[in-house]
Amino acid sequence: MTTLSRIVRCYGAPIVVAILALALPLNVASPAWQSVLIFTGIGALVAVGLNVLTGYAGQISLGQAAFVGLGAYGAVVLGVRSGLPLPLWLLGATVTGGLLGAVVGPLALRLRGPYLIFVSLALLSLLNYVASSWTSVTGGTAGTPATMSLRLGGLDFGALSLGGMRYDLAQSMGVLIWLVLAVVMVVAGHLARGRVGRGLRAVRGNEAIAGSLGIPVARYKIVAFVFAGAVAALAGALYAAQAGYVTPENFSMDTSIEYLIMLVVGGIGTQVGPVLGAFVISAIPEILLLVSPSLPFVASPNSIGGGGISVDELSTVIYGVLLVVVLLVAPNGLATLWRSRGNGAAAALRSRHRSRGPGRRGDGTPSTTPTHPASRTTISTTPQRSTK
Amino acid sequence: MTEPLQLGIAGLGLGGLYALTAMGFAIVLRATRVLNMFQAGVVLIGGYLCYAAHVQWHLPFPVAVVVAMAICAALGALVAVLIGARLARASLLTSVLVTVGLLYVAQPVVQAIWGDNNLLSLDDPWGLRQVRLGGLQIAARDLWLIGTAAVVLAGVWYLLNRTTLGIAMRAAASDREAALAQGINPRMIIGASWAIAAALGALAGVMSATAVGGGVRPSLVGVAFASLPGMIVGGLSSTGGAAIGGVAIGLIQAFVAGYAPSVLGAGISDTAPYLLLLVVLLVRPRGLIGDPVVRSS
Repeated sequence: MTTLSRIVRCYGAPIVVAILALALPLNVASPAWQSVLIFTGIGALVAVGLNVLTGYAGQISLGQAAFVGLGAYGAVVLGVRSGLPLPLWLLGATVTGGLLGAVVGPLALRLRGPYLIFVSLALLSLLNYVASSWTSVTGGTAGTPATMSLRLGGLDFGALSLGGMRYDLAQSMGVLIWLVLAVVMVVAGHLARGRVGRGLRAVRGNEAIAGSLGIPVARYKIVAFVFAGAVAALAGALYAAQAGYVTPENFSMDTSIEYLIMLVVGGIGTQVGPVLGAFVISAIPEILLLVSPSLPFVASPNSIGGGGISVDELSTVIYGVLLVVVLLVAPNGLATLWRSRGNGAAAALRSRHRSRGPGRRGDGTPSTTPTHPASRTTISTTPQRSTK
Repeated sequence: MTEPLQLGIAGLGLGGLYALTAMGFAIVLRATRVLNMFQAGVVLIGGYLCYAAHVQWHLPFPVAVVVAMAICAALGALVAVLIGARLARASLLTSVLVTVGLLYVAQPVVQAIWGDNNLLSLDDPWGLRQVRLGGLQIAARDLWLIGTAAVVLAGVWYLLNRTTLGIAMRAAASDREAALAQGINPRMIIGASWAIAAALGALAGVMSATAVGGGVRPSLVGVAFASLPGMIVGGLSSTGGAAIGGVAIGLIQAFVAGYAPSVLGAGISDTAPYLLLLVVLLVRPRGLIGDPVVRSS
């Protein structure tokens, strides 16, 4: 593999994202598409973290919104109540997310099977409870303003001033969010290609063999939890900053599921997937709004009462249809549709997701024998894809 | 003195609801290894169908309940026939998300048909009537709910333990390959599991849509999700565990709502089941009556 092609493979997607960060938000004038950009960026952040957790460590979390909420409220506490500057509240929020991930990881890992699903739901419930009840800090169910400082060096991401042009909050934050996304994608890529990623891929092939090869399975999985938690909290902090207000309603199971949808529709285990999926999911309501006048059964936004199905509800239906169709037709997301099958580790990930084979027992504990042909080849194919 | 008993009865009523929905989750999970989030949708559909049958088509209430359960069972069987086998083969993530997808399609469709206001009344025969029993004021619905849930759950127990179909379902749950080798038809297992789970969910939806339960409303889906911790508390590896866990969750919610100091806020009774879930996972992961869980490395 030539150096150029390696750079493109490893850094191509983040570089494109960084370019888009500078090109898009500042040139998109309509507030509707600006908010699509912002939600794409934030969703992509969470989805990148989920990609590592689900795609590599194989853990299903229905509660990522809890980490996002933690990051958002953490940013408020650090940035508004303590008045810390942008780098500190952003970093602080990220760290709290990572810490929570480090705490949750060992708990979920003690047990096989669908337990993380329940633990993540428990986290979500806890966050909602704390956010709704600890009124002095979080403002309770009414929420709290999130007006932290957005200055970084000479730049004010609340109102960027570049080349004589002044940009508003949405545009400026769009730039910040997408730049952060590019950086996070680079980190995620390194994680996936490095020792942790390779180790986790070996674990997906056969955990017992991987363990006996000396791979510290639990430790690597916890790294995945920490990363996913930190990134989600980071996204939450940025969300709070651009929204200017935070309420517990922002962090619900529906939100968590939206992030999963983004990841799964876009493509698990790919670099581009999370961004692609985030864009598709964020753009759908906007596209529907544009198209709705020509759809007879859609209620226009201004009509009250049973004039048809609302755009919001239609979006939800489309998400549902997307989920069912994409998962049954292309279980690993749109981004993998044109990938070649013999792609080493990525193919092993895909086949692992597609079928669990006959050897699993009903209570979720896998039998000890490898059950899928890919599992026997995974360990030998992973090293060749590693980068120096 | 009477307050704990009152709370206990209310908790049992709630627990009956949760037991029904948790059993629905558990039956499909154990027999087909699919965590069927669409169960929440069936609860919703069941409630609204009963409303349609009783209030709109003027069928007598018991008939309307049976009609709702039957249509939902058919719906469950239809879903099973269409995608049940594929879901059983797919990863847990896929099955969770596909069933969420079905839920996401069902909710707006229900709202488009019946509207999304919270004012629909099921016009159930109990309304808000209360019964005096030995000094206690008990909602009539709660009595019927406890009784009906007990009978239905006993029926499910009988099905799972004394009928060929039920034993086949348990065999498929405990060792799929051996069950297939014994000639058990996987399609029947899958279809029956989904249908039974749907019927249970529909009944829970009807009971939850009563006046005491809160009326016919879009948030009926929440009832099923609230029962999820019950599966862990009772034990994921046991179908009976889901019922017991559901009852436990109901009792916990009632007693926490009744006795929690107000400084803890109103949401504590919703969170308490999840706190219990975390405690159970830390202390006794197998749940109340589950099998010991294999620890990972």
